[in-house]
Amino acid sequence: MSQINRIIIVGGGTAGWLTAGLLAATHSEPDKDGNKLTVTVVESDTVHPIGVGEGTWPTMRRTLSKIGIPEADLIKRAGATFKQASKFVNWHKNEIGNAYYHPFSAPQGSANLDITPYWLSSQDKKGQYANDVCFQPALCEAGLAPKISAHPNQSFVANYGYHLDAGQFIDLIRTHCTQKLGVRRIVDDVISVNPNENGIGSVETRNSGNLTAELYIDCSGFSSLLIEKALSVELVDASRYLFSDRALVCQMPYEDTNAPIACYTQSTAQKAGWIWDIALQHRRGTGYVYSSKHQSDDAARDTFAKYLAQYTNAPVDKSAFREIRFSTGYRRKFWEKNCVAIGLSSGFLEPLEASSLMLIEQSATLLAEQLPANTQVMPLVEHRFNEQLQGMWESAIDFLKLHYVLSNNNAAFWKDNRLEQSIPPRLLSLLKEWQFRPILDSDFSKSSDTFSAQSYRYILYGMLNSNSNINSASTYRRTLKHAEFADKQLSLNQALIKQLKSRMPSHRGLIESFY
Amino acid sequence: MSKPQYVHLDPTKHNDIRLIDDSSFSHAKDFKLVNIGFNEIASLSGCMPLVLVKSGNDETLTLACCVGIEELGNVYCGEERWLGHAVPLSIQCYPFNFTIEGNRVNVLIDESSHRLTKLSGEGAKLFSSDGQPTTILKQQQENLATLLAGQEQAAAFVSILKQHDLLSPLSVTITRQSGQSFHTDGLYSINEEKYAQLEADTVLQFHKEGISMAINALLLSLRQYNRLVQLTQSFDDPAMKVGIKLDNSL
Repeated sequence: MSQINRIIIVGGGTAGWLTAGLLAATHSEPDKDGNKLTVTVVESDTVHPIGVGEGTWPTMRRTLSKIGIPEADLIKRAGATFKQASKFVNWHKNEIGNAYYHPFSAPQGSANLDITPYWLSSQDKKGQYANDVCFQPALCEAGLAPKISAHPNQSFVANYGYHLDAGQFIDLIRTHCTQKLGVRRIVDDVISVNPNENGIGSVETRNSGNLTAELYIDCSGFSSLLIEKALSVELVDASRYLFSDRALVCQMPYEDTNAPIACYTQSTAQKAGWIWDIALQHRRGTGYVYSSKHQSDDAARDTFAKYLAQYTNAPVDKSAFREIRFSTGYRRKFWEKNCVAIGLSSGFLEPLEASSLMLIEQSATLLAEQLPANTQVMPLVEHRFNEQLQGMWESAIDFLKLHYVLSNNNAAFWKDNRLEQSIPPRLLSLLKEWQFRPILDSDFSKSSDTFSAQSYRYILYGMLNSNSNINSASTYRRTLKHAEFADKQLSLNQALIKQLKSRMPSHRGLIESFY
Repeated sequence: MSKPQYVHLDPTKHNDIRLIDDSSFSHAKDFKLVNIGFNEIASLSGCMPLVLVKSGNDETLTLACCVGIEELGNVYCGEERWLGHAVPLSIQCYPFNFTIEGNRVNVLIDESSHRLTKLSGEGAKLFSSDGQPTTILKQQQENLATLLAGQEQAAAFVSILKQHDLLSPLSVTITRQSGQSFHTDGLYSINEEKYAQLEADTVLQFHKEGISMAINALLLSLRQYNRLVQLTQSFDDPAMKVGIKLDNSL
């Protein structure tokens, strides 16, 4: 039995440095013999991070605060902006419109009561679900910020995450980890990984020799040097649920440097996938995620170029698009013996709903919290970690699939997405039940259910067909005895929107207040 | 102080203008009577006398507060801060003002104001670079909206007082240490006798509409003339006493 004193992280992308930061910040105290945990990141200067994950969840605020990085640093040094919602354009068309929001803030009154059933059964003229129950879509539409000023406290109005420049973000955490948290950094190439009966025996580098530790973290990205190449843990394929296998990526400067900055991730449905559009301070990050079985690469480039052309007068250079190939899936085990995979080495999910950074945060936080004291108890933690992470990945896949299932687009890609055999079993049963009853918090009661019932409500009711069962009172026999409270929340929401519009600065205005 | 030069506030023209704080509201140091809104009666009446003033050629009566004394100026404008717990909204709104053109309310700014600068180290911007109002400006716009609403309500309040013939001339005499005294006419307050004789229905209506509260606050606020006197104590030749005469005849 040996104590866990040394951790080696292979790979210095977002996953590597976030994990290093969380581990070092959570275990900063020496033991009674004066031994401290050492965290070493081995990163190559010849391998460049993929850096696609530019959207975060609100959880990133807590993650950064755990690591000790102030929000102002993120804004000033990682080109970051605020994200209040995802906006889905053309995923579903109905009489109310072609777009809906999944905001980060909960509906009015949700601390006391879920008003959704009242909204659903209401006979009054309804707008979009999210707009009726939550103030945040209106803030997004008006280009307004989620808080009053740069002041860290006191000015919080709406729940938010961030959009950030992945490259600058890595630089920021790296500097913080090495300068403030005592993380060791070795810039070198890993030339071989040597397995032994405990899992990984050592990691051999080109110039720094053979490195050993009690625990190894594989953050080597798609190359999966440790978890796959050395330990042969295979991927569980999930491409039967999520068909996309390609992404074209492009960074777009603003035409006008003072242009308003969107405070949400825009996701626009296309023939064989969807385009993300993320507004940073000085540029937009865009990408087209598509299924190569449903659209040729050339046609996909045309689709993407056509989208970008709406926003620029300059000709769109299709050859400048970066192409990323992937298959959706996750490791059969995320923790194997003395090795934990975090980031792209643990699996890949398309960036819909910013789940990649979220899964990195969740994995690294869980690892830091549950870090075994010694090798004897490691298998116990391994088991719990794997169970939890598998649940999180499956829950994320269910949630992403929900978006596709509800679309009424009739292109082949979208129709295939609605075939029953392409829907994960748990989601399929829930969808059947939800035809006759509202979504309940108790539908998602496991701690690995990373997406809450409320997130499901925003998507399902954002894509509601007017003729759906749930909309008709005929099948509805649940007692609704708080109608007055629910009505009040709906009018409070309108009042709050009016008040916030007269108080909140524009999103760009908020960002400028940091400088 | 230079004469105000109010112009329309414009996101492009005023994009690089910054607003400096002035907690003594020194632009108002020569003010004596300041127009107030009906919604300010509650907050101001415990701090300064509230009166009605004949203004303009048409002799319109307006609701105002008294912040200054002849020759001594605004006694609430201290060296470093405002010497009261409440500040009239129109003073808070400075250097902004508004005009009503048709159905539109236009925001104006006094370009000659000492509170405006273009130096980046000072004050706070009014507009972000996307041309949108900052929090500071939005707060000022809200103040202006409150001011506008309050002044409209004040006009309605005054016409109710006139309609019920509840106004009496008020004369105020302030005597300085040197013995010199100043007399102010053209002010009005509530005729208590007539107010006491209102019909029961009217009293009930006044009570429900908040008119009674406002009338009582106006009457009580006249005691704040003593505070004005008190605030002159650090001046050369301070005010020593104040005489208030309200003609309560029926």
